[in-house]
Amino acid sequence: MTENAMAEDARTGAIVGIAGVDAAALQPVEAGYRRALAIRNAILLLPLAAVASFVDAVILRANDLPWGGLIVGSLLLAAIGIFTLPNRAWHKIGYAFGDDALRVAHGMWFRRDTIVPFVRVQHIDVGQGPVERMCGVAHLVLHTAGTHNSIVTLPGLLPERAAQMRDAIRALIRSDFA
Amino acid sequence: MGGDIAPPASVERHLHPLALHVALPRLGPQLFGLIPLLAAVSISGRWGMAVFAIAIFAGISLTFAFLRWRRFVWMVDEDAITIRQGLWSRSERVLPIERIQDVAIEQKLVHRLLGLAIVSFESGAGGEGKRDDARIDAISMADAQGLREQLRHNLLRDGQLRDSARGAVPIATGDAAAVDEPAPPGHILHHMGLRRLLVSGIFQFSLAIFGIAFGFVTQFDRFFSFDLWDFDFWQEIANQFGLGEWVGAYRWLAFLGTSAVVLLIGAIAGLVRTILRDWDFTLSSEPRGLRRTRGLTTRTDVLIPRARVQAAIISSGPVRRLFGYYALYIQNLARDDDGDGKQERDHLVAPCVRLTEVDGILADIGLSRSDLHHADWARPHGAMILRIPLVFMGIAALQTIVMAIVAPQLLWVPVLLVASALLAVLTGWLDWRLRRWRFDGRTLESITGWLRSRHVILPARHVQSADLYISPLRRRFGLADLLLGVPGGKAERHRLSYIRAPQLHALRISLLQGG
Repeated sequence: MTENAMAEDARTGAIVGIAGVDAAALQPVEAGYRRALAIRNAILLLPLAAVASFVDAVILRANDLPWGGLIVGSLLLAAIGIFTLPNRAWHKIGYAFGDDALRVAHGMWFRRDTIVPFVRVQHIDVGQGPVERMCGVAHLVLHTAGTHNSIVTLPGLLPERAAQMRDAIRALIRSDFA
Repeated sequence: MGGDIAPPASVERHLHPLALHVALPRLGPQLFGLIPLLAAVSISGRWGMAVFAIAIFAGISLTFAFLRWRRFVWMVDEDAITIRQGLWSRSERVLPIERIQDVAIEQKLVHRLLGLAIVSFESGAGGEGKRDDARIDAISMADAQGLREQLRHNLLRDGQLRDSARGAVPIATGDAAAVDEPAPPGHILHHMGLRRLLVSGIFQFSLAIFGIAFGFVTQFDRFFSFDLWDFDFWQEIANQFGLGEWVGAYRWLAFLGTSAVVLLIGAIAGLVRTILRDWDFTLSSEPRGLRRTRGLTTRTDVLIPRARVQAAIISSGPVRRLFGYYALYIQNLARDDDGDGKQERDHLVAPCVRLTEVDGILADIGLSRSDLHHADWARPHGAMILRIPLVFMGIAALQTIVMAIVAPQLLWVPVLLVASALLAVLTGWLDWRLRRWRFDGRTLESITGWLRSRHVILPARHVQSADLYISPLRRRFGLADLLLGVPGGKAERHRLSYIRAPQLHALRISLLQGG
């Protein structure tokens, strides 16, 4: 491992060493991730909003109770969940892919910033759910031997990019023991 | 059997076609979903419809089973096993052969009838409650054995290296219990004599046992058809004999007497439990690792390979600490039996020892402890004291607003929360006062806990991943927490809280490089 790792290798542009990964500017994930989040939230929130609106407009109204609040509230919540939050989450998630470690950071108020050295990776997944497929993104999952925080997921990658990262890590694990 | 029928490298392979039959029995339980439909049909008497519905259901299920079978592809090449699967959610898992620890072949009844086998792989990845890291269900038995043969050659090559993450293995075949074993050979690191056993037993006095004993006393009281805790009972006696004042005092005497009995029972229970579990407790140093034998009725014999030791934990209770006695635990992936059949996450290698004895055992597994008073310990930031009080104050503020609107006569309720917040400041301060950590470039040590203290010694090479965590309060003071992923042990153990962020960034880099 490099002792005095520079943030970026001048020639190749590769991020060198753990220190390099720690210092590197985080790279944003694909915009498709934002869309995938919005669709996922819509699938979750719109039916809820529909039910709430039904309760409000039919049941509350029929019983001469003050109505209208639930409709406005649930629609507002759905709008935030679909239009605002995915955008913010997308802005806050970032990664740095170095020559011997991956760093993933996410979260606004409660932020988590993880580094996994590739020599610690036990196995690797590249996956794509139905919504992700619609938006043209995939996720990369690194599994380590730790009992806790053992699964590190990086969403919002182009499928080719995810596979490329996977292959790079795989090659590194092979040379680690060879 | 045919170990030579190994699949050629880098050829994508499907499961055995008969594996579809294995999927069939799984349809059975799903058919229960049709019961309401059948009930409806039997009432209306339209049986033709029922047959039609079942046919459609079976048709759809079979189609999906077939599509899933089609999507499941596995292949082996020179450096990895790849498994691609999933209909809606697709995933492709790569298990580098270098990381495979174990290949298991399993046959259930259906598999045996059809000559199939499930092959499952263990890569040493962590995670709670997971079964295996990859599973091929199912291929022909010949293929399964060929695959294992192919991998075994690789597994044997440097099994020693890969041993590092796995847990302790019992020496006896199968179970940890090896009855009537003579004292283990090898150099004895720690042996518990009778005196130490009794000391340890006295410290085993726990509140849980206290509670049980208390329950017993209550039962006992009922047996004598009076209730010690029933005020009316005493009132009655007082009225009868006109000795109200004397009985009032006597009641306290009775209470004290009962408490003493309960304490005694609690102490004896702890003592008995300890004697049963730790009788002739011997920890010896063997070439492969630490060997522990203990127990009076059930004698157990456990080997903790040195290569599998992840971290050491020196712990003590509030009273025990005053007398200078500590317990030493070893964190590894395997679980220990605590003597009552309960599974512990760490191996107890010394139940009641002095710090000098701790040092002797640590030296044997290549670890060392920094002294509490001499080393250059770092401390967390004092903002830590505020975290729980702030939550209480937040709730109190919210409650005040709600009460002011809804029920002004209940405005005194939030005062209770404010009082709790003040109490939390006190406990927060006690907790903060004792916390410290240090890193010497190879080993991270941290001390936490004001009631039950824990001194954790973690070599950097066992750190698998490192997270920085920043909450709004931490951000306000420029602080962060560091959470380390380590094989085995309890959640949150390897966590440094409320440390300056730049310092933690540097620590994280050197911890991850130290491996």
